[in-house]
Amino acid sequence: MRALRAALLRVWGLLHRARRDRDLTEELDGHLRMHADDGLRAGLTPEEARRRARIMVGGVEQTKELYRERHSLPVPETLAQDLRYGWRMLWKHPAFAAVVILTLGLGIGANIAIFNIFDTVILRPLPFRDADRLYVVHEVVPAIASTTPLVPVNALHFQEWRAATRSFEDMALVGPADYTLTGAGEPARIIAARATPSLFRMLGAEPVLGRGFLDEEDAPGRDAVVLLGHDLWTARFAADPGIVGRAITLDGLPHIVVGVLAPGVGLAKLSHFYGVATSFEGPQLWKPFAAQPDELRLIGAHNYVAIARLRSGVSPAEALDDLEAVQEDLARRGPPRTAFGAALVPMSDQIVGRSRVGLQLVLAVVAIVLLIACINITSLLLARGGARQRELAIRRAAGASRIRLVRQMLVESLMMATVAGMAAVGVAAALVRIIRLYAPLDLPRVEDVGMDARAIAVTLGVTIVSGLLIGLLPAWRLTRTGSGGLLRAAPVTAAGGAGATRLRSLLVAVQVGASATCLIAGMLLLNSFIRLMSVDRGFSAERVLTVDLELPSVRYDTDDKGVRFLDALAQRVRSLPGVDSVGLADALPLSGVSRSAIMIEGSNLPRQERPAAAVRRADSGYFRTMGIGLRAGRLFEESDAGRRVAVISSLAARRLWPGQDALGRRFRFGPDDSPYVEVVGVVGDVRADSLSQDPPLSVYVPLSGFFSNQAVLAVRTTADPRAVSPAVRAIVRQLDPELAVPAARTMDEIVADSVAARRFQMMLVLLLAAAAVFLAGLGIYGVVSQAVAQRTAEFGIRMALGADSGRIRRLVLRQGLLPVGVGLAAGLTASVVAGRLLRSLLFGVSPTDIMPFAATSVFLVSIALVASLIPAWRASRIDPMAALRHD
Amino acid sequence: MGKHADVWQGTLALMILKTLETMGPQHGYGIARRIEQTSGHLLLVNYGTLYPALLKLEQGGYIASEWGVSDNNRRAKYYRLTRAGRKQVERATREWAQATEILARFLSPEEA
Repeated sequence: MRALRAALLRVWGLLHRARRDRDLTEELDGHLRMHADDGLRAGLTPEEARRRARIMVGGVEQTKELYRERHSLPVPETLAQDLRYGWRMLWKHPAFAAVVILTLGLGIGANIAIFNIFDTVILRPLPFRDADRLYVVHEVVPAIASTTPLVPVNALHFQEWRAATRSFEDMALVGPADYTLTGAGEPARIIAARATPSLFRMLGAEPVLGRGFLDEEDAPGRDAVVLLGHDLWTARFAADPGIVGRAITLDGLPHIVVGVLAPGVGLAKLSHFYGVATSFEGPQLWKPFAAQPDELRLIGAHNYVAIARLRSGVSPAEALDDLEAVQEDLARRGPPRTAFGAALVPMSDQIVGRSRVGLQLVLAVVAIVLLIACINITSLLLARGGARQRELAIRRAAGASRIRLVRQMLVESLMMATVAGMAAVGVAAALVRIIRLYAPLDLPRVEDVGMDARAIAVTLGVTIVSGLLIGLLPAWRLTRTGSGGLLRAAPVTAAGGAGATRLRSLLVAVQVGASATCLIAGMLLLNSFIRLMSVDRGFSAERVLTVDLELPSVRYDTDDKGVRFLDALAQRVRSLPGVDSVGLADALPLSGVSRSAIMIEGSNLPRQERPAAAVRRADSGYFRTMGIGLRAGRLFEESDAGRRVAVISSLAARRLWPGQDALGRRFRFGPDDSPYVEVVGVVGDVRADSLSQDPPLSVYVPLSGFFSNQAVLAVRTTADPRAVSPAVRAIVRQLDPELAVPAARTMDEIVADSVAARRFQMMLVLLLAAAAVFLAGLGIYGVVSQAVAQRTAEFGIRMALGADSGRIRRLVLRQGLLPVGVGLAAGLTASVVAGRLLRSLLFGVSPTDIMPFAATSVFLVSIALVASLIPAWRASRIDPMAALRHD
Repeated sequence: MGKHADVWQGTLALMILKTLETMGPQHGYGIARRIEQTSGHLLLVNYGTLYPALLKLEQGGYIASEWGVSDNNRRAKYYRLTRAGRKQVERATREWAQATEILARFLSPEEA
């Protein structure tokens, strides 16, 4: 209590300095006079009395100082002094201060921008109620678990889980969908999703207008209701609250809008929830799931996403056991040798898991760039500090404590850092905006990225740490005792002696090592990307235009109508000038395609042990247009109309009929009552899912026999494919004015889009690594220049004794390259270890590939050579006489 | 400064308080003189140590100060003991006595 009272009084004392000083002076004067009076009374002369008094009572100034320290808090007072002094010092060297502020501002800004992205995507909790109890449920099929560890969910299985398990508070099923919206502006394909009514309840995503789905609407025939996403509502329906209760037309059928979701709510991108590669985008509106009978088969399609909320008090392990018990039960009800398992993945892992490593890499690299920049500044301060050493030595000799001096120098660097930090906030905000708008990032939640309170707080932290970092080492070194020699009359060399050079060389080694690691990471990514782009795709993307078509089943209710439309379309487009060939299919390569179990004639494997193949519907023009080569047999012909034929990929042929000729063989796929098809041709393998995944077993059936409402037109042209785009769209509109035709894309664009995120990440890391190497180069240059300046006299003597300029150059180079060599060795070693962490980002490249290590070493040594050669060359031009006179 | 020792801070505070208890309100010079007298001039009170000590006691609430007029008609700051200060003197005196007693036992010759 006493201490608290005393402390408060001292804070109070901060405010009353002037009065306190006056009071004290008066009191001390009084004391002195009274002592003198006593002396007078004892018989001394007035002068003698005063003199004795003064001796007896001690130093006035020191008393005042002690009193002052006691009276208020010493730190804030001296701090104000430090700030004023620091400000003056900065203005004396504005160019230096500007360089430091600029460097730090950019460095901190870049770091904050990347951190903000990392924070939003990975660290921030999901915007769902109690998100840590949400799990995504996957199925596991042991027979194919080695290639496909996680399988999407079957609708019937989901219903069984919901009914039979007790570990979950609630469960929801979600599936992708898309519909053509007409009657509200241009007809358009809307990416959508189907969900059981429980989804919104579970996620805490209640509609902002209207209501959610009712349980009775979750049945086929009763599901003509929709929930609009907020963005769609604003864009297409002008945010009209009256939309609730009105009908909109999807795929030609009226659907009642029952509600509008709040902004930013719902699942952002469905493909993040699948354990296999898919390309489902973010749903803009929602319909009830309303499972169709053929989706509710025990052994049926696994196409959906199941999300579950764990009941409180239940552990994930218990819940998994519960699920697997139901799965076993289901398996028992199926054909013999059926087996199903389950897997629970926490929601946050599911959404952000795959982005984690990439973001961590970029964050690490950008932090290293800032570190290297700070080291450069420290090094500069160390070098310049030599000039201040005299001043500091004098102050120490006069009694200033070391702490005080260190503190003052830290205040100076913190001041620069603070200004830089303020600028950094602006830099970060701009960078974040640029990245969000222009950068192809396949990151979940990237729409939410933006400067916020947390980012500002981190900016403050990083600023303070940077300021301390750059100031600490120089402050410590320059305020060392043993400075007696510095008070000599002879001026000291500006750089502070050999010790400082050694220290700076060590710093250079650290910089080189750190930038080497970044560069190797960048090169590994570059190699991966090159490998990826040069992988054998199985198709040719040059000069191919693609147009997506969705034929609404309302108007194309018979296969016949659809086939006639497509045939007419293909014919007309083929006769356009500049068109080489035309093809039709239900999906293009790289778009992810679902699998079906293949049952070859004569085998009786149970369904879950049958090989799975990607089934595509295509016409014969497709293969030629996409550049897929024919390996055996023939493609579809006119005469095949009415016959059940198929063309399979080489891999499929080898796998399904190993060692035999596949031509003429028969197989079937899909439901057990589907007809057999005969293999008439074998084509090359195609990377159907993505460039980074191996080609799957593929099976192609004629579009005319197996019609699909979803089709894509591919057009190979002789010149620029985009030139025919308007003509093609005109033809589509002629044939069917009510068809929504999305923009046409070239196959090259599709390929580029599929790797856009990877390319961006690679370029970002390379750019940052280049910055790191550049800064390290600057550091090397600085240190070597200083070393040369220091050794000028020595070089002069050497030259006078007969050393030629070549020798001098070599001497300088040796000194300059030694820390580089050490740093490089350390950096390479660290990279071997760190490379392992990047494995998940690499493609076709091992983390210990020789090439990146070799290339980095060569590159860094070259930079170091260039940086050292300039001062080395200057050293060799020293005039010995001038050097010897130089003091 | 000759063979006079500097006064130790903690004991100085107690001496100040005791002096004020005995003499009543007094100014800084008077307190210093009194302490020197009481110690038989073995202690020399440097006002570099006296005034900070007075301030510390004042901040702790053991003494209070006010401006007044001294004997020779000069303006001087007078200090007096507060109730808390009085209690502190009693307690500190007791503690010192106890400490001295314990120490005396250690330092006295062994009992037979």
